Amino acid sequence: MALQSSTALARRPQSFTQNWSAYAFLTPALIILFLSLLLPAAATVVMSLTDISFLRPTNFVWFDNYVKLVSDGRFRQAVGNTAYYTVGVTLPTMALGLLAAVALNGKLRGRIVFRTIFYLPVLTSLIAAAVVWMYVYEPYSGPINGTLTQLGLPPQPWLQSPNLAMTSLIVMAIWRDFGTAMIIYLAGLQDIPRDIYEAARLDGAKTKDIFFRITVPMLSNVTFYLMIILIVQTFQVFGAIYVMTNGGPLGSTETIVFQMYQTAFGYTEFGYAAAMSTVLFLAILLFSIIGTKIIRRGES
Amino acid sequence: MPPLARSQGSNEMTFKSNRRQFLFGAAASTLAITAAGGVGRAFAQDQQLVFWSQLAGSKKAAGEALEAAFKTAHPEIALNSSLFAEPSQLNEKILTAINGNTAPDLFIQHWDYTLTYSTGDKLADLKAGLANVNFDDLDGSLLAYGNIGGQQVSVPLYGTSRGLGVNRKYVTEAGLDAEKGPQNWAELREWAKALTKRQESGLLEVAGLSMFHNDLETWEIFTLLLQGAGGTLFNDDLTAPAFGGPEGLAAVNFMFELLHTDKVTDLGFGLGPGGSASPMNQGRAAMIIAGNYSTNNALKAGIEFDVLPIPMKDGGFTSLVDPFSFAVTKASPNQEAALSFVEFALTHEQQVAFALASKNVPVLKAAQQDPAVQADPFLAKFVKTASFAPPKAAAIPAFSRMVTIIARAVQETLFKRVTAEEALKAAEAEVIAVLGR
Repeated sequence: MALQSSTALARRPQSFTQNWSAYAFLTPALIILFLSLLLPAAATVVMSLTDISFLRPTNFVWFDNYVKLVSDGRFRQAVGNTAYYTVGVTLPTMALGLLAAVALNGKLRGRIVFRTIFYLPVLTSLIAAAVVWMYVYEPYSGPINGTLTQLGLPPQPWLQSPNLAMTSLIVMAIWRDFGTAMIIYLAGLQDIPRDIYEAARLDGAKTKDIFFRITVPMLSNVTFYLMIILIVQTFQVFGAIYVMTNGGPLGSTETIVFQMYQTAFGYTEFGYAAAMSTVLFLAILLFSIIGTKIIRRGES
Repeated sequence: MPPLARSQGSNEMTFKSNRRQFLFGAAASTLAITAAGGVGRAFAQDQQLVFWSQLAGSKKAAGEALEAAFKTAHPEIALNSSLFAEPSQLNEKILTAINGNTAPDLFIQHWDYTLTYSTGDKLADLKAGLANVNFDDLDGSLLAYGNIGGQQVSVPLYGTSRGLGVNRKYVTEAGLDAEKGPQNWAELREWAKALTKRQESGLLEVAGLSMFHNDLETWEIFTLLLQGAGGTLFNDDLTAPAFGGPEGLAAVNFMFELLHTDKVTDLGFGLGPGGSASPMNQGRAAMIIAGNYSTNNALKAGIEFDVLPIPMKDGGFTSLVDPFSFAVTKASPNQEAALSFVEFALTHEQQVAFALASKNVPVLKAAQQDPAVQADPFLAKFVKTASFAPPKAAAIPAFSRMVTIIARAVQETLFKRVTAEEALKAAEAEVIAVLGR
């Protein structure tokens, strides 16, 4: 009873006057957050209702930009490309990250070295990595096609073909991101109580059963968290595409953010680009809300 | 209990007083900083000629020399220049600066961006401003790219021109006459076929003619071939596209035959980090569409590089020029100083000096023919190829968008997704929609 009332007291909101110093300390951060995040986000939504170019006089066009988006073939292609990239990167990255984490969570010899090696791509500059991968994918002298040729297989136009370019970018992104997934899964694995595994082993559970019936379910929150992080990150892919394919060939690697940049700074159609940005924001928000709800349900 | 209550009451009193002071202090500080910053900035800008330059890379030394010479000649003007590595980087900066009323007095940028800025009536008409410059002395082809709606919104410092870049070693080995070069499309096709080297497996070793590896280059080669077939991108008053006619079809079909029938290159050949890794510089291309910028890297890579004019379909030559141009903002507080800089850069002495240092084509016609410029073998060749460029330019504000539309149409044909006719008609319709906005 005493515990209950003290918890209730702790949870009861305290008046502003009682916590003024806390609010005062929070104020600078809130101002920065408001100026750098909330205000631009709100401005973007307002801009999306205009034909703003920063050069000509601006008019409100209300929902014209959104109507145009629906019928814009290039935007639809960018949405499809973004979705393909997101799924293509997120699922394999998580799967590989989990496998690597499980393998390196045990008493494997040299596991620190492996962890470092797997995490190194995350620390590499994206632009430097992109340039190196362009050499890797080089159709005539690159190591991949060199190996294929040695094996008597035909070389492939990795970044030159509209059918292969996006997949090639996905492979590079997986290489770069799976170290992050591995580290997050490793942290999650170390939170799982050892005695659960010991009990399962005493009960005669096999390694496969332990993995699928204990490890995977116990990591479900980590998995959803990671999924949200990766979805948000892959939805916003830009740098590697800008460097490696510039959206080509034939727009096959043009994602929403890349098209947004081109529309805003290439064509000075900032209103239309803002509409793209708002749609992307809503999509990310939706995924985040769904993911958070799933995590909370798992916790409860 | 009473002491606690008093204490709470006392805290509340203190808070009210502190909160008021805190809010007042924060508001006053913000206002003071903003005001001081604004006044300071305005004062600083009033005293300086603010110049945003894109004279980077191979033009960096030439740009620095030009600025140093200006400072010596005009000690009364405080030149404050900022260098931007890429046109796109400068573009982002200028667009946001124009919006925030912090645009520079003067900038030099790739011509198509300048056309975009002109749509908001933000740029001064230089024909009226440059009183000491005789515009008839400047190269008309280069100048045309800054003329929009009768106003000269930008004036080039220099331009690059397009020629047929060739590897002389391969040309000689193939028994072709490197001095004469191909004289028409039929000969160009024979050259490309003769220069192509493939392994037995079909793997391309040397492209006879490496055509493009991005949208801009696709647009460029299409436009060159379109001109070669006697066509133009737009009608005379630039109000409607004209590239979808028989000349445009001839251009795309010629590219299609080179690619799929003669197999002189592969689609996407040359896509890579660029610079020294480009196919010409790696000895993997015998011919390319070259600009002044191609020379240095090719020579550094040890290629026996040469430049020939680009043949038209039935004889004669064609080219494109690509100017980098000065523009002065209308809101500039230092317009006079900005115009002085442009006038200084357009003097014969500075034009020759810049051309020699950067290997680019000067805009001043007399400088193009200066003995020092003509003595530079590559510069002289690019001056020559520039003379084949049409006098009229596709100077429309939506140029960047048009490049993408045309490039995609050509690529869709080359990837065999649609016919050339369908692709060009669809592209024309799209350009009409863009022009109508």
